[in-house]
Amino acid sequence: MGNENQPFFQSGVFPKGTYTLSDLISHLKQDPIIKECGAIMTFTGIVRGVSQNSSSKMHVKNIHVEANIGLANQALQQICTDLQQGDVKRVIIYHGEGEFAAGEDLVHVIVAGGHRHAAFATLQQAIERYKSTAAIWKKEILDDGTEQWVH
Amino acid sequence: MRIEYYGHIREQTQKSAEERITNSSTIDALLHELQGLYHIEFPAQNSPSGATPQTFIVAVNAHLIQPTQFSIPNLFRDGDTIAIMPPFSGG
Repeated sequence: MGNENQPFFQSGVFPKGTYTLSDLISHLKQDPIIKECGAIMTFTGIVRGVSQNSSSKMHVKNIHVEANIGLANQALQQICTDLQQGDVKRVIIYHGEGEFAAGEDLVHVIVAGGHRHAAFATLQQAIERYKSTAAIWKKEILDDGTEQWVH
Repeated sequence: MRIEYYGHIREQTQKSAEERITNSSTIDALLHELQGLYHIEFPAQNSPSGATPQTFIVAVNAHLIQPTQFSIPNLFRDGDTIAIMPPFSGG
Protein backbone atom coordinates (compact mmCIF):
# COMPACT_ATOMS: atom_id res chain seq x y z
CA MET A 1 0.00 0.00 0.00
CA GLY A 2 2.58 2.59 -0.98
CA ASN A 3 6.28 3.34 -0.59
CA GLU A 4 8.49 6.43 -0.38
CA ASN A 5 7.88 7.32 -4.01
CA GLN A 6 4.12 6.93 -3.95
CA PRO A 7 1.32 8.56 -1.99
CA PHE A 8 0.78 6.80 1.33
CA PHE A 9 -2.61 5.69 0.02
CA GLN A 10 -3.72 5.35 -3.60
CA SER A 11 -7.51 5.37 -3.65
CA GLY A 12 -9.22 3.30 -6.30
CA VAL A 13 -11.18 0.18 -7.24
CA PHE A 14 -9.80 -3.11 -5.94
CA PRO A 15 -10.90 -6.76 -6.16
CA LYS A 16 -13.19 -7.91 -3.39
CA GLY A 17 -11.36 -9.48 -0.47
CA THR A 18 -8.05 -7.66 -0.95
CA TYR A 19 -8.54 -5.23 1.98
CA THR A 20 -10.75 -4.55 4.98
CA LEU A 21 -11.72 -1.35 6.77
CA SER A 22 -9.53 -2.48 9.64
CA ASP A 23 -6.52 -2.87 7.27
CA LEU A 24 -7.08 0.62 5.91
CA ILE A 25 -7.35 2.24 9.35
CA SER A 26 -4.26 0.39 10.59
CA HIS A 27 -2.29 1.55 7.57
CA LEU A 28 -3.55 5.12 7.94
CA LYS A 29 -2.36 5.17 11.54
CA GLN A 30 1.17 4.52 10.29
CA ASP A 31 1.06 7.65 8.12
CA PRO A 32 3.22 10.36 9.78
CA ILE A 33 0.46 12.91 9.08
CA ILE A 34 -1.77 11.16 11.61
CA LYS A 35 0.10 13.08 14.34
CA GLU A 36 -1.79 16.18 13.17
CA CYS A 37 -5.17 14.43 13.27
CA GLY A 38 -7.73 14.31 16.04
CA ALA A 39 -10.46 12.46 14.17
CA ILE A 40 -10.95 9.63 11.70
CA MET A 41 -14.41 9.43 10.08
CA THR A 42 -15.46 6.40 8.05
CA PHE A 43 -18.35 5.52 5.76
CA THR A 44 -18.98 1.95 4.64
CA GLY A 45 -21.43 1.29 1.81
CA ILE A 46 -22.86 -2.22 2.02
CA VAL A 47 -25.02 -4.33 -0.26
CA ARG A 48 -28.68 -3.62 0.44
CA GLY A 49 -30.65 -6.85 0.85
CA VAL A 50 -33.77 -5.46 -0.79
CA SER A 51 -33.88 -4.42 -4.44
CA GLN A 52 -33.44 -0.73 -5.23
CA ASN A 53 -36.03 -1.01 -7.98
CA SER A 54 -38.99 0.82 -6.46
CA SER A 55 -41.52 -1.33 -8.30
CA SER A 56 -40.49 -4.41 -6.34
CA LYS A 57 -39.24 -5.29 -2.88
CA MET A 58 -37.47 -8.42 -4.01
CA HIS A 59 -34.62 -9.79 -1.97
CA VAL A 60 -31.15 -9.33 -3.38
CA LYS A 61 -29.01 -12.46 -3.35
CA ASN A 62 -25.84 -10.99 -4.86
CA ILE A 63 -24.58 -7.87 -6.45
CA HIS A 64 -22.14 -7.70 -9.35
CA VAL A 65 -19.87 -4.65 -9.39
CA GLU A 66 -17.80 -3.71 -12.40
CA ALA A 67 -15.73 -0.65 -13.24
CA ASN A 68 -13.78 1.08 -15.93
CA ILE A 69 -10.72 0.88 -13.71
CA GLY A 70 -8.72 3.64 -15.38
CA LEU A 71 -11.55 6.17 -15.34
CA ALA A 72 -12.81 5.16 -11.90
CA ASN A 73 -9.37 5.36 -10.28
CA GLN A 74 -8.78 8.73 -11.90
CA ALA A 75 -12.07 10.06 -10.49
CA LEU A 76 -11.55 8.62 -7.00
CA GLN A 77 -8.01 9.97 -6.75
CA GLN A 78 -9.15 13.38 -8.00
CA ILE A 79 -11.83 13.54 -5.29
CA CYS A 80 -9.24 12.76 -2.63
CA THR A 81 -6.79 15.33 -3.98
CA ASP A 82 -9.48 18.01 -4.18
CA LEU A 83 -10.84 17.43 -0.68
CA GLN A 84 -7.53 16.93 1.12
CA GLN A 85 -6.83 20.50 2.22
CA GLY A 86 -6.63 22.64 5.32
CA ASP A 87 -7.73 20.74 8.40
CA VAL A 88 -8.53 17.65 6.32
CA LYS A 89 -5.29 15.69 6.12
CA ARG A 90 -6.27 12.47 4.36
CA VAL A 91 -9.20 11.34 2.21
CA ILE A 92 -9.23 7.70 1.11
CA ILE A 93 -11.77 5.85 -1.03
CA TYR A 94 -11.54 2.11 -1.60
CA HIS A 95 -14.28 0.63 -3.79
CA GLY A 96 -14.69 -3.10 -4.32
CA GLU A 97 -15.16 -4.95 -7.60
CA GLY A 98 -16.54 -8.44 -8.12
CA GLU A 99 -19.46 -10.41 -6.68
CA PHE A 100 -20.87 -9.44 -3.27
CA ALA A 101 -23.55 -10.97 -1.06
CA ALA A 102 -26.21 -8.91 0.73
CA GLY A 103 -24.70 -7.18 3.73
CA GLU A 104 -21.10 -7.29 2.47
CA ASP A 105 -18.96 -4.16 2.30
CA LEU A 106 -18.84 -2.45 -1.10
CA VAL A 107 -16.97 0.77 -0.43
CA HIS A 108 -15.04 2.50 2.33
CA VAL A 109 -14.52 6.25 2.57
CA ILE A 110 -12.14 7.43 5.27
CA VAL A 111 -11.36 11.00 6.24
CA ALA A 112 -8.70 11.96 8.77
CA GLY A 113 -8.63 15.51 10.00
CA GLY A 114 -7.42 17.82 12.71
CA HIS A 115 -10.94 18.21 14.10
CA ARG A 116 -14.31 16.52 13.64
CA HIS A 117 -16.34 19.29 11.96
CA ALA A 118 -14.32 19.55 8.75
CA ALA A 119 -13.86 15.78 8.62
CA PHE A 120 -17.62 15.15 8.86
CA ALA A 121 -18.42 17.64 6.08
CA THR A 122 -15.68 16.26 3.85
CA LEU A 123 -16.85 12.70 4.36
CA GLN A 124 -20.27 13.61 3.00
CA GLN A 125 -18.82 15.49 0.04
CA ALA A 126 -16.56 12.57 -0.85
CA ILE A 127 -19.50 10.14 -0.79
CA GLU A 128 -21.68 12.34 -3.01
CA ARG A 129 -18.85 12.87 -5.48
CA TYR A 130 -17.79 9.26 -5.93
CA LYS A 131 -21.38 8.20 -6.55
CA SER A 132 -21.76 10.61 -9.45
CA THR A 133 -18.26 10.68 -10.97
CA ALA A 134 -16.68 7.22 -10.62
CA ALA A 135 -17.13 4.84 -13.56
CA ILE A 136 -18.59 1.98 -11.52
CA TRP A 137 -21.79 -0.03 -12.10
CA LYS A 138 -23.86 -2.45 -10.01
CA LYS A 139 -26.17 -5.25 -11.05
CA GLU A 140 -28.55 -6.88 -8.60
CA ILE A 141 -29.13 -10.63 -8.82
CA LEU A 142 -32.45 -11.28 -7.09
CA ASP A 143 -33.59 -14.35 -5.18
CA ASP A 144 -35.76 -15.45 -8.10
CA GLY A 145 -32.74 -15.35 -10.44
CA THR A 146 -33.68 -12.16 -12.31
CA GLU A 147 -30.95 -9.58 -12.85
CA GLN A 148 -31.22 -5.82 -13.05
CA TRP A 149 -28.70 -3.02 -13.40
CA VAL A 150 -29.01 -0.33 -10.77
CA HIS A 151 -29.28 3.18 -12.20
CA MET B 1 -9.47 1.77 -32.70
CA ARG B 2 -10.47 -0.09 -29.57
CA ILE B 3 -14.04 0.20 -28.34
CA GLU B 4 -14.89 -0.87 -24.79
CA TYR B 5 -18.38 -1.59 -23.50
CA TYR B 6 -19.52 -1.60 -19.88
CA GLY B 7 -22.53 -2.60 -17.79
CA HIS B 8 -25.75 -3.35 -19.64
CA ILE B 9 -24.19 -2.07 -22.88
CA ARG B 10 -21.53 -4.81 -22.60
CA GLU B 11 -24.31 -7.34 -22.15
CA GLN B 12 -26.15 -6.04 -25.22
CA THR B 13 -23.07 -6.16 -27.45
CA GLN B 14 -22.03 -9.46 -25.84
CA LYS B 15 -18.42 -8.26 -25.72
CA SER B 16 -16.37 -6.15 -23.36
CA ALA B 17 -14.12 -4.75 -26.09
CA GLU B 18 -13.38 -4.94 -29.79
CA GLU B 19 -10.93 -3.58 -32.33
CA ARG B 20 -12.83 -1.72 -35.00
CA ILE B 21 -12.03 0.13 -38.21
CA THR B 22 -14.54 2.88 -38.88
CA ASN B 23 -15.18 5.69 -41.31
CA SER B 24 -17.18 7.56 -38.67
CA SER B 25 -15.55 10.87 -37.82
CA THR B 26 -17.86 11.96 -34.97
CA ILE B 27 -19.12 10.26 -31.81
CA ASP B 28 -22.67 10.66 -33.14
CA ALA B 29 -21.78 8.82 -36.35
CA LEU B 30 -19.95 6.08 -34.46
CA LEU B 31 -22.90 5.58 -32.11
CA HIS B 32 -25.23 5.40 -35.11
CA GLU B 33 -22.97 2.76 -36.64
CA LEU B 34 -22.95 0.69 -33.42
CA GLN B 35 -26.68 1.15 -32.97
CA GLY B 36 -27.27 -0.49 -36.35
CA LEU B 37 -24.80 -3.26 -35.64
CA TYR B 38 -25.92 -4.23 -32.14
CA HIS B 39 -29.50 -2.94 -32.05
CA ILE B 40 -28.74 -0.74 -29.07
CA GLU B 41 -30.58 2.51 -28.47
CA PHE B 42 -28.32 5.53 -28.06
CA PRO B 43 -30.95 8.27 -27.78
CA ALA B 44 -29.87 11.81 -28.68
CA GLN B 45 -28.81 13.58 -25.51
CA ASN B 46 -27.26 16.78 -26.71
CA SER B 47 -30.09 18.96 -25.46
CA PRO B 48 -28.53 22.40 -24.83
CA SER B 49 -30.63 22.77 -21.67
CA GLY B 50 -29.19 19.54 -20.31
CA ALA B 51 -32.75 18.66 -19.30
CA THR B 52 -32.60 15.18 -20.77
CA PRO B 53 -31.04 12.74 -18.31
CA GLN B 54 -27.93 11.10 -19.74
CA THR B 55 -28.54 7.48 -20.62
CA PHE B 56 -24.97 6.71 -21.62
CA ILE B 57 -21.48 8.21 -21.28
CA VAL B 58 -18.59 8.26 -23.75
CA ALA B 59 -14.88 8.63 -23.03
CA VAL B 60 -11.99 8.87 -25.49
CA ASN B 61 -8.63 7.81 -24.06
CA ALA B 62 -10.03 8.16 -20.52
CA HIS B 63 -11.35 11.69 -21.14
CA LEU B 64 -15.09 12.10 -20.73
CA ILE B 65 -16.79 13.62 -23.78
CA GLN B 66 -19.76 15.94 -23.22
CA PRO B 67 -22.87 15.18 -25.31
CA THR B 68 -22.58 18.65 -26.87
CA GLN B 69 -19.27 17.48 -28.38
CA PHE B 70 -20.69 14.35 -30.01
CA SER B 71 -21.08 16.10 -33.37
CA ILE B 72 -17.57 17.56 -33.43
CA PRO B 73 -15.38 15.80 -36.06
CA ASN B 74 -12.03 14.18 -35.33
CA LEU B 75 -12.26 13.85 -31.56
CA PHE B 76 -10.78 10.37 -32.04
CA ARG B 77 -8.49 8.60 -34.48
CA ASP B 78 -6.91 5.22 -35.18
CA GLY B 79 -5.28 3.76 -32.10
CA ASP B 80 -7.57 5.53 -29.66
CA THR B 81 -9.70 3.78 -27.04
CA ILE B 82 -13.35 4.73 -26.85
CA ALA B 83 -15.40 3.63 -23.82
CA ILE B 84 -19.18 3.49 -24.07
CA MET B 85 -20.71 3.33 -20.62
CA PRO B 86 -24.04 3.54 -18.77
CA PRO B 87 -24.51 6.35 -16.22
CA PHE B 88 -22.35 5.68 -13.16
CA SER B 89 -23.95 3.92 -10.18
CA GLY B 90 -21.18 3.10 -7.73
CA GLY B 91 -21.37 2.33 -4.04
